[in-house]
Amino acid sequence: MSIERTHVSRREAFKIGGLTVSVAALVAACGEDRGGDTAPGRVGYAPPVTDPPDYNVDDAVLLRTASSLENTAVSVYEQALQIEGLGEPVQTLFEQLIDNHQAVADEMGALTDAEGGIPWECTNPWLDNRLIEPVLSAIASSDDPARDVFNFAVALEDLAASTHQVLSVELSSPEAKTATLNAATLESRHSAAIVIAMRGPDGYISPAVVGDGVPTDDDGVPERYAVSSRFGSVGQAELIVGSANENGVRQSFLLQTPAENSFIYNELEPTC
Amino acid sequence: MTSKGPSPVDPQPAETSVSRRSLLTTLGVAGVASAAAVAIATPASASPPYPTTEADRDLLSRTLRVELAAKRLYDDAVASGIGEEAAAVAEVFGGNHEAYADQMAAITGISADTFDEAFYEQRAAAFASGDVVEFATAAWELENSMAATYIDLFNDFESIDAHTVVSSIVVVNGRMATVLADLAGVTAFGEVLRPEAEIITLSEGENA
Repeated sequence: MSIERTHVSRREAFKIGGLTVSVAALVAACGEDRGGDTAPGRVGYAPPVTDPPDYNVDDAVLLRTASSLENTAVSVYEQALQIEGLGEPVQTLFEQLIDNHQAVADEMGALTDAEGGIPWECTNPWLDNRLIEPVLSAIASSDDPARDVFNFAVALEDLAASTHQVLSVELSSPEAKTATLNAATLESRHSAAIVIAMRGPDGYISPAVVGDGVPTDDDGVPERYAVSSRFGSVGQAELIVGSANENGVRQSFLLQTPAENSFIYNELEPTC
Repeated sequence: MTSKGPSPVDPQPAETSVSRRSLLTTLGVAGVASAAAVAIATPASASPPYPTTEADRDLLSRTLRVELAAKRLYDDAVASGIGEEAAAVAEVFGGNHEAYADQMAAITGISADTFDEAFYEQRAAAFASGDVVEFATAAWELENSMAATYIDLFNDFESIDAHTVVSSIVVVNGRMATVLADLAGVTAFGEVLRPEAEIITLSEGENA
């Protein structure tokens, strides 16, 4: 019995291997009905992605969102009044601001009712979790709580003003459009009044209005001004609060007008 | 193909008689069809137009002239020798009003070259007095009036463009008024935050 030995050279092995890969690729490309998940691959133990609910955004939703922001402002001022070192003029102003925000919240509630919605009497849960609670926590451990409360109050008034400014354009009901534009103007006055109460004439007009840079205070925190731009801004704004860390950096938060993630939809149950 | 001849049933009756029931049915079908056609042609809630409309242009041509008159009033205040601090405020606020006129011109295509003379004449003396408190009080009242007027007119504007521009001006009117209240020595927060204001009567313009 003889055994015929088949000898395959290294060059032939490369040829066979290359041919096999090419044919496999061709077959795979021509294949039909290839099943499987078309979503991007996921690694590790990340929770599955859930699609957000598709809720309708109507005037009632926008007005409920406006109410939530006003209630949030009332809650923040009530907590701010507990902080020492604000001074009597600022305390008196904050008490006036609480009354004004409550009045606007009531007005937004009445308009919500008129639009067939249920008035929202709670704060905004999205803002509470992502802005209010972390900022108040940073202020509690701050090297200068009075400075931070001042900056937070101005930022909050600016946010409320720009939110109402946006809503005055987006709402369709004439009464609601007028009410939100009134609220935007009132809360712009609030912001300016806080700055003037704290800084006097130095805080009248931001250099940014005439195209110059905004200076920072001795702690490196940007100064606030009563008139900060020629036109009312609806862009995001930065708030810096808290003590500096070992690198001299303080916590920074971005404030944005409410959007799909922070709207108070008609389907949401009260959180208070 | 073989013809099968005329149909044994005449499709066109010699006399068309319409009963009351068939008339109502016909009208009902026509009504529903018309309503359906209108519903398809018109969205359920028609969105406002984005660019300014003819009505917007008429209104904005008048407010533009008021803005230019305000710019002129602040220029007079600067020239009157009201002191460095008040003059700095007047210069920037005058610039703001000029920018508002320019913006209105930009969205309407109207030239920003004519000011409202009647509006200017009513306030010129106080702005040019050279007295800080008199100037600041007059300017405070002007900003409050402009804010109140824009809010009053807001629903008369039709386009998103006009609403967007006007809303972005009103909020700064409120801020400028708060600064001027401080400069004028108005200290009561209630008066500063919720001031009484007179609505401006806009004069008829060239486009009106």
